[in-house]
Amino acid sequence: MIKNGRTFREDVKIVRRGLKEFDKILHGQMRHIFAKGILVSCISYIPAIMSSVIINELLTKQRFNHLIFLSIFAAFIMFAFTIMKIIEEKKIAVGFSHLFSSHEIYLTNRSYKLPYESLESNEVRELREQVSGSINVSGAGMASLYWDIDIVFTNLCSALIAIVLCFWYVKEIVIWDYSTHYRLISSIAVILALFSLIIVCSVVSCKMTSKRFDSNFEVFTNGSKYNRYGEFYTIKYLSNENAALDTRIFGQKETIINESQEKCYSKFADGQIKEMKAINKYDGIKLLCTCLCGSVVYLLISQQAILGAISAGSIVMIYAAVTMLINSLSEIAQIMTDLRNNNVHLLNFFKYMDLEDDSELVDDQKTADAVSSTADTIEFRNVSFKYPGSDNLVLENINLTISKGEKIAIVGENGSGKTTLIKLLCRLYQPIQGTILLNDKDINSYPFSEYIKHISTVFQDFSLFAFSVAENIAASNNYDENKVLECLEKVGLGKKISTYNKGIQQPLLNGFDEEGVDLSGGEAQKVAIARAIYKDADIMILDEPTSALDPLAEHEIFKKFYEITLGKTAIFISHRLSSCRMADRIIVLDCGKVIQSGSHEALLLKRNEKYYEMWNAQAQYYS
Amino acid sequence: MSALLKKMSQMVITDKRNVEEKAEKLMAYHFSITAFLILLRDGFTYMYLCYLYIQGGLSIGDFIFYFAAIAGVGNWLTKLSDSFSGYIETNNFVKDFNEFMELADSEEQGKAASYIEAPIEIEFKGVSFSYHTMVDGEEKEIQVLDGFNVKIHKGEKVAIVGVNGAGKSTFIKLLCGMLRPSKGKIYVNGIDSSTISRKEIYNLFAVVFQSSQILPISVADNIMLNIGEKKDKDRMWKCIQLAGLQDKVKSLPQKENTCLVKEIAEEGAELSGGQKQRLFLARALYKDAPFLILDEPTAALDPLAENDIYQKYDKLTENGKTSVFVSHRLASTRFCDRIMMMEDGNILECGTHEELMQLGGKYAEMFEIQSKYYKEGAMEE
Repeated sequence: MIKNGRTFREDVKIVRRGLKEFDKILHGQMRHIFAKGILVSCISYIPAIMSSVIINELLTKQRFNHLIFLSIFAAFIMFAFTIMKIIEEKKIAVGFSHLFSSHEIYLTNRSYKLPYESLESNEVRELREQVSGSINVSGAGMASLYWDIDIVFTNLCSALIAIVLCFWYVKEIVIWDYSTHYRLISSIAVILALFSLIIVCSVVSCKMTSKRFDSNFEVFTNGSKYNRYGEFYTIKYLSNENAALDTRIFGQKETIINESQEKCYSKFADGQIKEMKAINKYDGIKLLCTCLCGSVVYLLISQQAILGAISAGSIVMIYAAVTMLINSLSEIAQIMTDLRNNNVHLLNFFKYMDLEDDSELVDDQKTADAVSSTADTIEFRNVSFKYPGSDNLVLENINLTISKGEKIAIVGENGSGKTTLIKLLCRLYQPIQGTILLNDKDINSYPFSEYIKHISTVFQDFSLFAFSVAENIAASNNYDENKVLECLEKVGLGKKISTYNKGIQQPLLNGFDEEGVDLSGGEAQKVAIARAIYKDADIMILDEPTSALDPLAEHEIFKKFYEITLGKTAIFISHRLSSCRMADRIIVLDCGKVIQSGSHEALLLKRNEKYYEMWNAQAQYYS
Repeated sequence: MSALLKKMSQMVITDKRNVEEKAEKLMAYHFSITAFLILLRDGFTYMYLCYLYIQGGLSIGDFIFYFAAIAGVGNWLTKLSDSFSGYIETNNFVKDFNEFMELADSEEQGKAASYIEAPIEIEFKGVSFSYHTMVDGEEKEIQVLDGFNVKIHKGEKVAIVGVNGAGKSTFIKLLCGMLRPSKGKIYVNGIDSSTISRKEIYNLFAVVFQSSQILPISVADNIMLNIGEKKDKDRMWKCIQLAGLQDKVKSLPQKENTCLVKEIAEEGAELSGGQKQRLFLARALYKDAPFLILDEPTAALDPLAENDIYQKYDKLTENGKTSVFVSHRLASTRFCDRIMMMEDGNILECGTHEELMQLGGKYAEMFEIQSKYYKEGAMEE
C-alpha cells in the first residue's frame, strides 16, 4: 500500500493533521460536510426502500389507507431530507468560496510572523507560491481535502447503508422455510455468489478507477509552477499599462503568446486530455462491471423470488443496495488516490506552517527593554553580510558611527551595498558577522516593535494603497488631519491635494475605485516622503527619495530638508550627488566596503579618489 | 502599516462574503421550490399508481415501470430548465466577450504603407489631446495638450524637459503612435500619420520607457524578441556593449542564454534597477529603428554609469537617427541639438542650451537651481 513513497498509515496521519489545520482556517465547516454526507446517502435509498415497501403492501394486504399514508410519507421524507440537504449544501458552497480567501489570509497571517530574511529567500517565496498556487490553480491542498472528504464520507455512509440493507434482506432468505435440501443449497449458493460478486466487482472497479487521478498527477503537482507563467503574462504583465507600450513598439505579441502557451496553457490542456482519456476508459470499465453485476444480481435474486424465498419488493431493494455498494466502494477507491496524491500539497502547507518564527517577534513579549525615549547614536561594528545561498559578501567589515542629529549621505555605484546597509539597520536582515548598536546596545536586544518606532523610511520601491491620501500618509484610519496637511505642505503637495473636492480624503489608485486618482511617479514619491515625515521618528532613512522628481520639485525638497529632519538623524542614498551638499558627512561605499568618509569639501580635495570622480562625472555638465 | 492592511482586507472580504451569502441564499430558495414540486409529483404518482393497481388496471411490473418512467421524465425536465437558466447566465459573459472583441482594431486602420524611409522627421500641427475621467461622480474632460505645434527634423537630437505633469509622457505617446490626437494632425515625413497603419508607425520607433518590465525569457530573447525574424547575435553583443551591460551578461551562468526574472523562471537571474535600464537600452538599440526615444533612461544609474551613457550618446544615435531624450537631469541636454521646455501641455521655450540660458527664462531658472548644488563654494541657504 505504498504510494508516492508513503504508507497508507502515514497518509492517514497527514489527512488527519490536514483536517485539524482546516478547522483553523474555516472553523466548524467540516460539520456541514458530515451532515450533508449522511443526508445525501439516505436520500439515494429512500425511493428504493419506499418503493419496495409499497410494492410489498400492494402484493399482500392492499390496505388503501395504509398505501396513501405510505405514499405521502415517502414523498414527505424525501422532501424533508432534500430541504435539509439544500441548507447544508448552501453552507458548504459559501464555505467553499470563503475557503480561498481565508486560506490566503491564514497564510498571510503566518507570514507576518516570519523573519524578513526568510520572506525574501527564494525557497520560502517559492514554498508560499506553491501553497497558494496549489489551492488557487489546481484546486488542490485544502480545497481538494474539502471535496475529497465530502465524497469519501458520503460514500462511506452510502456503503454502510447498503451493507445493512443487504443483510436485512438476505436475512429473509436465511430464515425462510427450508423444507427441501435443494432449497437450502440454492439459498446458500445464492448468498455466497452475491457476496463474491460484490467483492470481485468492487475490487475490479476500484483498481480501474483508482488510476484516474494518477493520469494527471504531474500537472496536479506542478500546476502552480506552470501557472506562474500564465499569471505573469495575463495578470502582471499585460494588465500593466506600460506593457501596452512595450508590446507594440517591440512586437512582443508573438513572444508572449508562444511563451504563455508553451510554458503554461498547453501543459494544462495536455493534462486535461490525459485525465479525460483516463476517465472515459475507467468509467467505461466501471459501467461494464456495474451492468454485468446488476444482471447477475437480478438473475440470482429472481430465482429466489420464484422459489418464494423473497418478495418482489425485496428484489428492487437488494438490486439497489448491491449496485450502490459497488458504486460507493469504487468511488471511495478513486477518491483515496486523489487524497493520497493531494498529500503532496498538504505536506507543503505543513512545511510553511512549520517554518521557524521570527525570533525577534517572539522576543517582543519577553524583554521589555524599551529604547530610552530617544534614539541617539547608531554604530556598525565590524558588520558583514551576504545573502543566504550566495558566496559573495555584499557588505564587508563595515565600521561606522552616526551620532544623534547627524545627516549622512551614502553614495556609491549600483550594487555597492547601499540599500543592504539600510535594510540591516531596519533589522530586515541580520548581519552574518558583527553587531549594530543603538545607544550602545545591540539593536537585537530591543523588542522589534519598540525599535522600529524610532525609524521612518522612504524606500525606492515604496507602494501606495487604494486608500485615501490621509490613510496612505498616516498608515491608519485614525489620523490627525492637521498633521497630515502639514506633511503634505512640507513635500509640496498641499496645493495639488487641495484641488480635490474631497481633499485629503481623496482615494488613490483608479484601478480600484472609480473616483480614485492615479498619481504621477513624482507625486507618488512625494506622498511616500510625507508618510515618512508623518511618522515623526528619530531616525529618518531616505533611499533615492527624489529620483522621479523634476529639478524644481527636487529643489523644494532639498530646501525643506533641514526643516524636515530638524533634530533627527537622517541617512539618505542618492545618485544625485547634489544632495551630498546637505550632508554633514558622506560615506562612499565600493564593493561592500567603506572607502571614503568625510564632508563634501574634504572629499573633493582628494583628487584621485572615488568621490571626486563621481562628483565630477555629474558636475562637469553644470560648470 | 500591516495593521491597516489587515483591517482593510478584512473589510473587503466581509463585503464579498455578504454578497456570496446572498447569492447562495437565492440558490437555496430556488432549490427548495424545486424540491417542493418534486414532493407533489412523487406523492401524486405514488397514490395514483396505487389506486390504478388496486382497481386492477395495472400489473406490478407496470407499476414499477411507470413509477420509474415518471421520475425519469421529471428529472429530465428539471435538468432542461437548469441548463436553460445556465444558458441565460452564460449569455451575459458572452456579451461582454463579444463587446470586447468588437472594439476597433487600431492596427488594421490606415494603409500599410512602406514608403516611409529613414531618416524621418515628424511634425505636430495643432495637436490637442484630452481624456475623460470621473471626478466626484461627474465625467470631466482633462486637456493635456492644446494646439501643440512642433517639428522634429531629420537626424535631430531633441531634449525635452519640464516639471512633473507638463505633458512630456503624453507627447511621447502621441509621437510613437500609442495615442491619437483628439484634434490636429501629426505628419511623418510629410504624410498624415492617421493614414499610415499603426504597425508601420511602431516600426519607426525604438523607445526606452520609464517603467518597462523584463520578461521571464533569456537575456538574448529579451533583447531580440521577434521570434520569426533572423537573430543577429553579433549585433546583439554590440548593443549589449553599447548599453554597458557586457560584464554583467558575461558573468551570468549561461551568458546571454540565462533566463531572467527569478520569481517566474526557476534558476532565473535577477537584475538590479540600473541593469534593467541598460537591458532596455540594449533592446532599443537592437531594434535599430530610425527614431530613438529615451524617457528618463538614467534615473536608476549611478553618476559614473550615467556619464557613460551621455558620452556614448552620439554613438547611440549614429546613422542619422532622429532622437528625443526626456530627462530631469538637465546635464543630458548638452548633447542635444535643441531643447524643448514644456509646461502645461505646451512648449514654453525652445532652442539650444546657450540660447535658452541667454533667454533667461524658465529653463535657465531650472538649470541654475540644479547646477547650484554642483558649483564650488558654499551654498546660500
